[in-house]
Amino acid sequence: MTELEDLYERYGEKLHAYLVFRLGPGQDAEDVLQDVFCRLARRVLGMRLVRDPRAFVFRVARNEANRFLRRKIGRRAGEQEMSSRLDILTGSLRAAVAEPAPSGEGLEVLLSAADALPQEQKEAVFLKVFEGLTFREIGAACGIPADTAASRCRYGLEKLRKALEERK
Amino acid sequence: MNRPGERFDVERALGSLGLKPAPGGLRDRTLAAAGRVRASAALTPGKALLGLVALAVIAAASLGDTAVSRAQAGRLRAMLEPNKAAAEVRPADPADIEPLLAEVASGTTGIDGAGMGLGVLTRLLESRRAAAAVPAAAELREILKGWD
Repeated sequence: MTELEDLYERYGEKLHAYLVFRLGPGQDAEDVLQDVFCRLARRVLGMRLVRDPRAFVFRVARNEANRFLRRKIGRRAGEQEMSSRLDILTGSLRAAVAEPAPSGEGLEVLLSAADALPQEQKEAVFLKVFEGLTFREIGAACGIPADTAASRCRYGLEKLRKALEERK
Repeated sequence: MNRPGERFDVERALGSLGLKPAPGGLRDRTLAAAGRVRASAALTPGKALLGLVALAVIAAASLGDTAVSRAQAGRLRAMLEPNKAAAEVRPADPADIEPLLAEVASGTTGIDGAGMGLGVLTRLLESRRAAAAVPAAAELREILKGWD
């Protein structure tokens, strides 16, 4: 197995889910995933020196997603068009997460509440809960201190808990 | 007020949903694109190894050239400024001189008139001792070269 295949086995699916969360389902996430692996392919040698490869690949994916969004929005003319694309910018858990079973009404509430979180809290919760990153890795991937990542995650989960309690 | 473990429940409930699977064929498409980039990348593992070897060769050649230049410069200086060059030669170790003296005394140096050579050498050593300077072994050898 080549190094790239090994990288894909370890992170490919998770990166795709993250990109779907950031960019929505469809071709965009797949294109950006290819961009991510093309970028990693140029740095396969350097990857051996990276202390935390998981945080590194998520950082690369995050940067590529941001680059893609800047390109996409830059091509579009007018504020109206830009504001209509804000839903893409904020990311959506519902896009990346499997649909809950019809009986899982509580989960449906949770998902709706999660999608209503501020972007930075939503991203921290997504990376922690669905991708299994540590706070330090979330910090490294998002370019923030680990404490900030922990706070964002904690506030986000607290809001979800409150939303669930209010529903009950 | 939070009850212990409550946050974990929210986390676990969310985590139970799982992620949507990637579409089929995405792996192959992604790896193919990355493989093409890898093949045309400026620094493949082979090129990196070649670069390291070339760097080592250049460094060795450069160091060797410097050493040769320094030796040549030393020889030239010795020819052009013998006094100054001799002053820069390291002081002779008595352990170096003693075998030389024994050699001269025994007459196995191939030098005719070994006794005369020994006399000159002894006088030279005495004069240098008087000047608080011990001659270098190389200098003594140079002096003895003329005694044939």
